[in-house]
Amino acid sequence: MSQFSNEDIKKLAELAHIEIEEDEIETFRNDLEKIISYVNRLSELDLTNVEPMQNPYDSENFWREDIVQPSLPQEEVLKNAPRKAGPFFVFPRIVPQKKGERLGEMDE
Amino acid sequence: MKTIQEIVDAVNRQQLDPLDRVEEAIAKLTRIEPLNAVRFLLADSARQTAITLRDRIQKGETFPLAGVIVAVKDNIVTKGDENTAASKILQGYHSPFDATAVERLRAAGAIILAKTNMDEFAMGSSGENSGYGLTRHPTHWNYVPGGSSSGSAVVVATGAVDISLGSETGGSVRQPASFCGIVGVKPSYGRISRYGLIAFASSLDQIGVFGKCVQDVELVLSVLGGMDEKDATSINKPFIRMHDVSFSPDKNKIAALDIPNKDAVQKEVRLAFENVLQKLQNNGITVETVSIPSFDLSVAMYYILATAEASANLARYDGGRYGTRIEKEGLRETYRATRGYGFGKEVKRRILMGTFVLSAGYYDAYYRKAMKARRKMSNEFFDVMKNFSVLLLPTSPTTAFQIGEKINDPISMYLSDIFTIPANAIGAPSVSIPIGKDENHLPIGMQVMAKPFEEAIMFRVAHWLETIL
Repeated sequence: MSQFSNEDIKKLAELAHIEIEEDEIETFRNDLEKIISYVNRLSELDLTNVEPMQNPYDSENFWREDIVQPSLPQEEVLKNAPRKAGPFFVFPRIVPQKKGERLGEMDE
Repeated sequence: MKTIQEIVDAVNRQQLDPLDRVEEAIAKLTRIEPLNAVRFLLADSARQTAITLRDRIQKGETFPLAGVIVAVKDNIVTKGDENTAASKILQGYHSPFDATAVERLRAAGAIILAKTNMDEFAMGSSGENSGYGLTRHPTHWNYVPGGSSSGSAVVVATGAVDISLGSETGGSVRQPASFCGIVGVKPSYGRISRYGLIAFASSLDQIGVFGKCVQDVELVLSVLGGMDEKDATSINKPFIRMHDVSFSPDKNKIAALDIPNKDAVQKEVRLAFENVLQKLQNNGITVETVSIPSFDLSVAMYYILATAEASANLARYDGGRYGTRIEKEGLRETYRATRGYGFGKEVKRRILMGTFVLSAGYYDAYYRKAMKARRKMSNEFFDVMKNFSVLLLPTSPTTAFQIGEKINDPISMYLSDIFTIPANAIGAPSVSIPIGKDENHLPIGMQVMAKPFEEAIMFRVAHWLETIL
């Protein structure tokens, strides 16, 4: 009757971009098992012809005038960055570096 | 005990020096350090604010919250300070802006003195899920203070500050208020701008206020409430003060929730609640018991909706632009390592759950079904409340529990919110007030809940209850 395998938990963690330790997998599997079996109690409710409710007042788009306003200064925006270079956030490389390539590199 | 209004009047009349009040509060916060209620003490900026305030008052200005000492939950940002939502993933993050609620407090002459400890990202009901150590109950140190706004409840309950801000997604202000024996309010959804509140589940999140009495939280809410262009869900409705509405038992009928599963509620909580109803009858007020069956399934609905929204909201913590980064060779590897290190166990559990209920093949069976359950709960509430002004119900099924008692049993932990979740789901305001103590002298709370935007009558009834209890 088990809903999840350890593989399912690994897959969910991968989708959520969260590294989990091998010894945590079993705990998470157990916890999710219990939580899912509890939330399945919703089947007790008769929900035929009930429209889903996304937010309390069914509020829709809220528009404001498109007026240019000051934004945060660049140094404020970058202040909390773990790595930065000039006006940029620096992330780990996605495309492998070619030999001798200097394109796009800046001093950090 | 002085009400905040009395303090404000005295400060505005220069009979009380705001700087003295700051020093006094710092001394009190130092004495309660072992409770770990405070993440950051903002002593220097508070002193500076007090001095500026004193000067302006001497020049003839007055302020609606002059000299009121405030603590703010660590998920509501204050400019220039470290703001972590008690998560390691935000360690060292300094906000470049103030939350709107904070901005309004400052403009009203309040002094922000501390950022308070909490369950990481507001996920928890006990204060045990902080990335920086648990918070202890103010009088029973081996017990939890409730959560997730744990520190904010403790600093008010101990009398260290005048009021505090917390946040609610499923009861995170009312439940700790109940556990700590103080007043805690969650206003209508949209009443207070969420701008600057670190998002957990945006369709349920709302800032709330802790205080020693109903009058105090009502006064603060009158300053905080109002439309804000920076939060598209904030609502443009005037906040009506409680003394501007009348309460007449003939016109304002009171309903009490028929507790569906009586065995799941601690006997003393039930008795204290019934005792209040009895006192109302003794005062010649008829209370009608009403049944709202879907409230019994609020937790089941909540742990689908809240985790789904959280899994999306917390996707922004990738170690890229702010916060902690655990750098690895590739981008995905960096995300995974950063989030694996930065999030605590409860946060991971909820992101996994949210990822599951939103995943292809399960969306209809879980997420969509829970959204329908939310509508049903809301419909049942409005149907029942057609003839009533307020609904009375317990705040939490139990009083505070022991540290460690529920930490490995998520369902039993989640069930402490069974009576508070409906207000978040519906968007209704609700205030928890203390109504007694159990045999261990742990406080018991009760909610006065009203229809959306009817805070005035809710406070009026709650205030009146305070006087007869």
